[in-house]
Amino acid sequence: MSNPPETPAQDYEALLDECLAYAVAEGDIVNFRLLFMPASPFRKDSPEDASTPKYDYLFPETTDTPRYREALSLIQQEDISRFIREQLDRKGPPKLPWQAVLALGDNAARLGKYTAAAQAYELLRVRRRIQDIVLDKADERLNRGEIAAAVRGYTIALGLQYDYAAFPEPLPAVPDYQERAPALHSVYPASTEQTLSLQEDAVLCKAALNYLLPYAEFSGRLEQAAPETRIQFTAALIRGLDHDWAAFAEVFRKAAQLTANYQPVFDKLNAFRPDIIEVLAEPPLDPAILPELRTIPQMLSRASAANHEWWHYIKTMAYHHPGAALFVSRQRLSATEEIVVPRIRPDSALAKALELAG
Amino acid sequence: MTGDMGYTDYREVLALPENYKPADVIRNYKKRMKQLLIEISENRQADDRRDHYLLLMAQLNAAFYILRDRQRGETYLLERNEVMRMEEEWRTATGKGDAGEEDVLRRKYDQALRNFLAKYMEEFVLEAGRDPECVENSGWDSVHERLAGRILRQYRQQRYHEIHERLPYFEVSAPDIDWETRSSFVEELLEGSIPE
Repeated sequence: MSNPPETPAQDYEALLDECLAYAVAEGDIVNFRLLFMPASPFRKDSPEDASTPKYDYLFPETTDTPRYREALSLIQQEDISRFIREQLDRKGPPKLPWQAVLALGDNAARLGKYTAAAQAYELLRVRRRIQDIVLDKADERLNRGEIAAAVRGYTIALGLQYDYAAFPEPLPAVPDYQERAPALHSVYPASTEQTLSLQEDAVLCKAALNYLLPYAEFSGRLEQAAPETRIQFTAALIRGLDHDWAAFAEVFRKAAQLTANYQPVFDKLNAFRPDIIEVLAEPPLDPAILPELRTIPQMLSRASAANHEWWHYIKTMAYHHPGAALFVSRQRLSATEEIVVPRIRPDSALAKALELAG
Repeated sequence: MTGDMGYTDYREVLALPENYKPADVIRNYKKRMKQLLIEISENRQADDRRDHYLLLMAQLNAAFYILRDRQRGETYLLERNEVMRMEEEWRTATGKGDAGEEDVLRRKYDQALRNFLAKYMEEFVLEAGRDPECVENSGWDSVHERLAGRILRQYRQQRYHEIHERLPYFEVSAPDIDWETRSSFVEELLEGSIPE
């Protein structure tokens, strides 16, 4: 009977360095913390084994990147390496090496993994200060007319925000435009004054910034900016938060053309209270055009069906394109049915900058 | 960080003297609540600062509700002193080399702190809002209570973090941050250059 082949001895020290460096390079705070937990595959008293295939995800696919090499050299620094091993041998909760946590946070921020960066900085108790530096630098760039850099700064600061009211523990705040967008349309816009998207650019920009940067300490900083700059900044921010904006703008223009054909009908409908519409001798809307009208919100929101409530369309739209909710409004079709239609001011510089005007 | 080291001192909220009497509590509460309501009505930006004013109003109500009742007030002060003592006990134990003992004290302190903040920064604050005298003086109603739930939870967590920010590091080794390098790093981020 032949002996089973011998398993080659694993160099667990090298494996540990690889895993830590990979987590640092990728800004992966979850994997990084896992490596120190009681069930870590690198703890002597843990039954887990890092060399088994189930832990393959902890290892880098390629080690040939400058960011990985830099992280590995940091992890292999004598004092950091010794500290890590002390913590893995320690009874009780380990301390994470601050140099590695900071490098991890930086890499996460570089890669746009802002929730991971926020958690790393929060552990180091530097998150708020870094956020302030980012906002100050973004304001400097804005004053120099460097809109793209300023928008990048505000986007990063927004990503580093923490939600201390989260239950049961504070967590990084995540975008929730789909939750807040319906509130922009809480009042039915029976007149132009009540339609947000038909307001002058100054009013629309203020509403847009309060909605897109939903913290007074963020949006308040931009109040001093010149009107032109605010328009450019808002347009760039909307594009920055939505990499698919160009595709949405194209759909928006098509939907706007379709809506324009029915504007006289909408004006007639808006002239009556909803309870009156039902008892009019001559209905203002030909039922034959209803199916076509219902496709408008469906187009805008990419919804799978055309029978949803108006707020459902707004939520779906805001989820995919946060800025979209600013350029649409509710439109009544009957006493019980509303759709969402595109509406912009013909002279809006913001709408032009976002290529929404036809 | 405020002068109360993060452990809200309701005597300070009502500006009470060291050996205050129940009459001082009532007088100071009514005076301060009246001032606050006047300030809110005169401030044109009151809507924008709604959360701030709601928190101030809730704190005044809580201070009155807790300190007006002798037994409740004494329990509050005892528990406040106890949690501060536990903080000191843990601080003294850190760095003495006994990681196990240090961790036990930290956990005990952390639990006591969470309980203290939950009880006196949230539960009693909401309870105070339902007290007939508080309702009469502050006009607190169900809308205030609904809004206050989120604000108080946020305030409690912020207090917790403010306290923790001045305590010894226990999840990470104590950092030594070079803020000039941080500043350059932020510049690099704004440039948008992501290395491979």
